[in-house]
Amino acid sequence: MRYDNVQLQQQLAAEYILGSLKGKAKARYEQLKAKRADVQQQYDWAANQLHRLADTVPAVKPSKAVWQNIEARLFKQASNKLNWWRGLGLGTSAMAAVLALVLVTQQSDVPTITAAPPTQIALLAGEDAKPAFMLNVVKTEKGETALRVNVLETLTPQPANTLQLWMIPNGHKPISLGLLPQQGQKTIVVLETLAAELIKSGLAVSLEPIGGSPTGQPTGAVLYQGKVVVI
Amino acid sequence: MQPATSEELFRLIALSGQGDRKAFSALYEATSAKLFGLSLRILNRKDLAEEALQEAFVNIWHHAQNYRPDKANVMTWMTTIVRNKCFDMLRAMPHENQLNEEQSFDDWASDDLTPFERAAERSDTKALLGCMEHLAPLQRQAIALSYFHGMAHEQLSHHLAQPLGTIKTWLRRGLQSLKDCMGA
Repeated sequence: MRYDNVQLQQQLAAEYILGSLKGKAKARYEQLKAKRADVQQQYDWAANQLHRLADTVPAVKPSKAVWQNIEARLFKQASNKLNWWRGLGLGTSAMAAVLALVLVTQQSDVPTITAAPPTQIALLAGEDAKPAFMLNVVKTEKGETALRVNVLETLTPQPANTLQLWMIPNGHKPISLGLLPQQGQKTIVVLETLAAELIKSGLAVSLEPIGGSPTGQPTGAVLYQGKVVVI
Repeated sequence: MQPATSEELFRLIALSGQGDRKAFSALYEATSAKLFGLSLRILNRKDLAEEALQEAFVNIWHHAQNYRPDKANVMTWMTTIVRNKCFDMLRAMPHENQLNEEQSFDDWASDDLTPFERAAERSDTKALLGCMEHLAPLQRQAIALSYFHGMAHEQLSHHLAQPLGTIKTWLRRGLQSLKDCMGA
C-alpha cells in the first residue's frame, strides 16, 4: 500500500501541520493517523520539528486584561458555584441528617464499614484512564509513612526500562520516591519530611533507563499519573 | 529550549492538569508572550490576537490533563492550540483583513520579557532558521504563508502567482530539504 512509504507519510504529516492539506486529502489523512501508529508517529515527529517555526516569531507581552479575562472566565464561575452550594446549606444538612440516620440504622448489619479508618489511596492511570498501579499510604511497624505499591494487571510491561515514581509538590520540581516493580507488590518508605506533602502532591510514573533516572529528574515519558485521595 | 525550562514547563502543565491554579498562572507567565507573538503574526490585529490567546488558554486549562509528554513537548502542544484558535478566527474574518506580510512587529515587541522568552532563542530554533535560509526564497515563503496563514495549495498558487503544480513541488521539495537539514 502506498501509505507504507515513510517519505510519503512524512510529506503528508508536514503538509497537514503546515495547513496546506485541505478537503478530502486532509480528512483522509486524519483517518489514517487515527488508525495507524506509524502515521501518528511521523506526525508527532514532524509537529515537534515544524512548530519551531512559531518560535521564530518575536515574543510580545499581551496586556494585563488578557490574564484577568482568563481568570474571570475560569475561576470566578467556580467561586459563584461555591456560593450557590452554600445557599443550599440548609438542604445539605437535612440530607446529611438522613444519611446519618441511614448509617446508624445499618450499623448493626455492616459494622466494618463505619469502623474502618480513613484509607489514603492513589490510582495511577495512563492516558487511557486505566489504572496500572494502586498505592496505599500505610504506616510501617516502626511508624514510618510508606507507600504500599500494587501492580495491576493492566500495566504494560517495559522490560527494557525502569519505571520511576515521582511526587510533584506544589511549586517544586519532581522528587523521586523510588523505582517501581512491574509485577507484584513493593513497599516504599517515604521520608518523614516528604510525608506531609505526599497527600497534597501529584504523583507521576516516568519511563527511565534501567536503574532509574540518571539526572535526578524525570528524563522519559510520563506514563501514569494520579493523586492520593482519602476514602 | 533549555533543559531546565522544558522540565519547568512540564511540571507546570502537569500541575495545571490537576487543577493547580498557581501553576497555571506561572505557565501563562512563562509562555504567553511567545504565544501572543504567534497569534499577532497570524491575525495581525491586537484585539483579535488577544481574544485568540484568551480562548486558547481557557482550552489549555481544560485540556491540561490530556497533555501527553511522549507525543509533543509542552511548547509544541500549546502552540498547536493557539494556532488552531487563530485559524478559527481567521476563517471567520473578511478576506481583506487576512494578510499583511509587510507589517512590522518590532513596534509591539517588548523588552520586558521573562527568562523563558530570552531562552527561546533556543538552539533547535536557530537550527531551523538556518535550514530555512538554505531554501529558495519562494519555497521559504510558501512554507511560511502556509504555516502562519493556513494557506492551502490553491490560495498559495493565487498569492504567489504560480501554477498549482509548482506550488505543490515547492512545498514538497522545501519540506524535504528542511527535513534533511534538521536530520530525521
